Amino acid sequence: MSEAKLVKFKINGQEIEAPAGTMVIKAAHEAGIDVPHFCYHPGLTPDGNCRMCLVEASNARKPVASCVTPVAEGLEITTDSDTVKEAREGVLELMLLNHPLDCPICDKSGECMLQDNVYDHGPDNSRMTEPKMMKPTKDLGSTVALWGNRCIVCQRCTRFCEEVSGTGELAIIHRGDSSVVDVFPGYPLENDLSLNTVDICPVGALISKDFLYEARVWNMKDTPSICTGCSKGCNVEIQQERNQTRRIVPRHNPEVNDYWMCDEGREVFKPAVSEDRLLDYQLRTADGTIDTNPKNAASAIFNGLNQVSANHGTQAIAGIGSAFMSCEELYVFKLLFDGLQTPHLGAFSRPQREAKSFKQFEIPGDPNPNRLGVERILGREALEENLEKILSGIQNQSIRGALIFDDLLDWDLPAEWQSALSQLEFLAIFSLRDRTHLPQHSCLLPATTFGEKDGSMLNGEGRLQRLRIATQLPRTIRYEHEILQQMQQELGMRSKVVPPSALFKEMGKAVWPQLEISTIRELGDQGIQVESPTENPQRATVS
Amino acid sequence: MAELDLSKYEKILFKHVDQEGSDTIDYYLKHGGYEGAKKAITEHRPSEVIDIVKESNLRGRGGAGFPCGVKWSFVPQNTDKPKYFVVNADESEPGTFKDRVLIERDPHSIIEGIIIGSYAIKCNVAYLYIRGELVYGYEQLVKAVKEAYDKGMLGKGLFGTDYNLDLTIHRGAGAYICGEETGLLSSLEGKRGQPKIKPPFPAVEGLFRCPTVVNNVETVCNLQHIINRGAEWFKNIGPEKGPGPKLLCVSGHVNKPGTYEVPMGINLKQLIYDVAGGVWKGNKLKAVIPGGTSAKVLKAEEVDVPCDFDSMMAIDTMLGSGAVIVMDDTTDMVDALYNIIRFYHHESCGQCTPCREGTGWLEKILKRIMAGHGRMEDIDTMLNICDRMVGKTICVLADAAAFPCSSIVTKFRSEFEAKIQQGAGYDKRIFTGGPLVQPGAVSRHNQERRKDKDTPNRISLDPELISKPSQSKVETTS
Repeated sequence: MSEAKLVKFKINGQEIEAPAGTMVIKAAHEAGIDVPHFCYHPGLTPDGNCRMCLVEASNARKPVASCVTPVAEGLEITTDSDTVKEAREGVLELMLLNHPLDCPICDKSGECMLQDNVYDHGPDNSRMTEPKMMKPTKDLGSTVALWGNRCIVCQRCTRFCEEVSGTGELAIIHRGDSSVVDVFPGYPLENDLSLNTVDICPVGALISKDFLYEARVWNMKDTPSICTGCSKGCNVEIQQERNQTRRIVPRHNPEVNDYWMCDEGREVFKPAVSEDRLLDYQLRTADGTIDTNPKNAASAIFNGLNQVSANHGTQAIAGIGSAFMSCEELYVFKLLFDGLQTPHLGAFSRPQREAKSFKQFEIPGDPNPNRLGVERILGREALEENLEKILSGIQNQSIRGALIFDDLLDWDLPAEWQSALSQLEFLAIFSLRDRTHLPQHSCLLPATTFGEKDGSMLNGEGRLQRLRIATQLPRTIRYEHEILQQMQQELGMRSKVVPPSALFKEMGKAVWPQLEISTIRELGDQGIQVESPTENPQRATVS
Repeated sequence: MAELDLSKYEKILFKHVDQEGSDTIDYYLKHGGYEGAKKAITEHRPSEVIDIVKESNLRGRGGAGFPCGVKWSFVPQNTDKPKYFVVNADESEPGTFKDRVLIERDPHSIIEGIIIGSYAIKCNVAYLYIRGELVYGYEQLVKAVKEAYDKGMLGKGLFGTDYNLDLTIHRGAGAYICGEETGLLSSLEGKRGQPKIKPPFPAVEGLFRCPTVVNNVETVCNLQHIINRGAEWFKNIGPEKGPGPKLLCVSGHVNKPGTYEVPMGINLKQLIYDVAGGVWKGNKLKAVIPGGTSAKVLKAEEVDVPCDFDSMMAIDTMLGSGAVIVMDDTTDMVDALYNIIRFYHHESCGQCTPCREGTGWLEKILKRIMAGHGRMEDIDTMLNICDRMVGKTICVLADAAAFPCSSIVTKFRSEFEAKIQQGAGYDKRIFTGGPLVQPGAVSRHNQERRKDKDTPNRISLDPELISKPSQSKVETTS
């Protein structure tokens, strides 16, 4: 697309340049000038129905809606005149007429645009004494519920369903002040992007049933991170309260997910807070007792593997990572097993699923967040070829000891692996779930998961993105990379345990020679494209 | 102001509507029908037709009074998109019933106008959007279009040229807002009838995002006469800046309500007292709404004004759709305003906040005043709400609701104050706040049925039949 011509115009006397065709509200926001709005959303086509963004323009008699007014050469916009202020106050008073003002019990309270705008620009009381309109409260689908009374009919959600998901379940029904969002009978709001309508709802009309009454938003702390639900690597904001993740919301990244994310991705924190999460180390000692001290984990695994190696040779041990580990963890894992002198290095990955394509959003078929990272660090063959070799090695007793990572969220090991692993002399498993039903394990170690790790991941399009720690680990758990580094220490490969940021420094140039940055900090919030997305494994579908 | 001598005025639009069979193509052809279309297509190039109409100063009869030729000239000439000509027959402004007469009594004059307009903007597909409630009119139009197709007035190769035109009639589903240009186009596209943001104007991007001209029925009926008799002749009728015949619908408290064809610029007083036979029952005139309920009201002393777009604009009201609603001195202006606002509340599409909420609020306040619970501050609140509605929405429905409200409240403020002071003692019998059909109101049909008690349709309540179920119930329980 050719660069649009720049036009010069003024907002409140301030000279501003913007490409021709830009809407005034966007130019104003980019220049740092506040223009309050409801129906305008940068990811949707402007509709101009809320009338909150009215400004005065030199080319119009009446106040114009800045979200539908394109900039023009020499245009003079006024956003703070008395007319504009009066218009804003008028719109807000009218908007509150039939709004129930049930902020104390509304989930949106604290991040509600109506609240914010009324505090900033609104009247301090209402002159209406008549009863308000009543609209239905109902379920729109399995994920979203509607509080009709709170709806201000901005039509953001209906536009989302038309333009982004392309499914068109939502519509405005009735007329005038009875109009409200609804679904058609028999066609509930069931699409994989449905919860985005909740995010973009400026008020609490559409509410996520999963998050309903879970937390007050002002108590939650936000951490920018990425979703580890699939290879898209949507940029998200992890919101936690008292060290417990409550909700994940999408974060704008035009290169990856724009303003949206899928419903499934919002569930990735569930294993971390699930009741059957493994929290204790179970290290089987020589005399058959169970040691739960995390400090002994590294030596227990190291000694176990060493024992096997001494008895059957270094070829008899194997390491299996997973496509859910961060690049840093994979890097230490790779170094460790290179040090142990075994070629048996594989990685588990979840099976491919059907990719889903929406009008403006793709959900890739690859459910593994760091498959490309595994391919780059452990090698392309680790995911399939090596795994098969290891499986047959275990079955024909040539491999006697293994360290495996089973942190693939709710995915369970295939049956042939479960039976094969029982033949091992020594087995150490990093797992999210309690696997005491696998009696053969020698060491059962709790794994860390989404929202707890620092590090980086390479998404399906070859973009290196930063994971951040949102919640502190449960007190009993140590990071995997620490345990792996301690094992390296036992081998004499490493003098001290370092954080992931230091590992990134070691790893960066070794894995991607052309990488221009040296510290993980430089990845920033938006990540860096380290590989060109030539072949697109995201869209590969496996039937 | 000088009175026009209407006896010399030759009817143009309504010349044939009173005649038997005026809706058939045979009658129409016998009286010079389709000559204008034939002349336009065979003798003029499209740009010449636009020039003639521009020259004639024909202004749109839908309400805004925008010059018709100028509107046509906005259609881009060099575009590969199809163009559309849409005729707005969604006549729904309260008090307006002028297009209906043309549709039902002279449908071929509309079709002829459509041919000329479509030819002028070089489009091959025209739509006629007719109000859903006009069932008879729809049937008449369907019949007329079929006749026109049969006689080769529509379809392929009109009048021996290579010009093709297809006309589709589309029925609305009963929404006032679909009479608004862009709301009509949304509805015609199959969407919810909500007005669109202008710009882009329909002439640039309208129906199906293609250049579209939307004209009123009465506007297109003028075209053939302009082509036939020339722009000069047309300009001599009425004021030069907005000439031509005008259909005015006089309703309310007059002796002879109806649709009248008059030359543009007729004095409103002459229209009421002369043409429409004066205020009924010998009562005095109290107020006149000159252009549909969306226009600002005129007090009795203000009615000495010519009925044309500019003169009405000068006294801060509008000719609008030409619906003159006359109110005599027995009229309760609070009730009248409540009736008007109730309509706009019901018809607001709900897209823009000021209109969606404002109309509802106004109705609630007026309803409360009508019920005798008004407060003095309500009057200023209403004026303030109107102020917050005007000019702040996508279409002009908010203005249309606010203009009558602010004008009636300002001009008849004392009545509102009196009603509020009267409080709950107010006689509620003429309160229109109930259901549209008053309980107890009996239609003529039912009145006659009641007179004739032997009508078999009547359910007769036989005392024995009533008592039987209860007896059986007692038996089963015991």
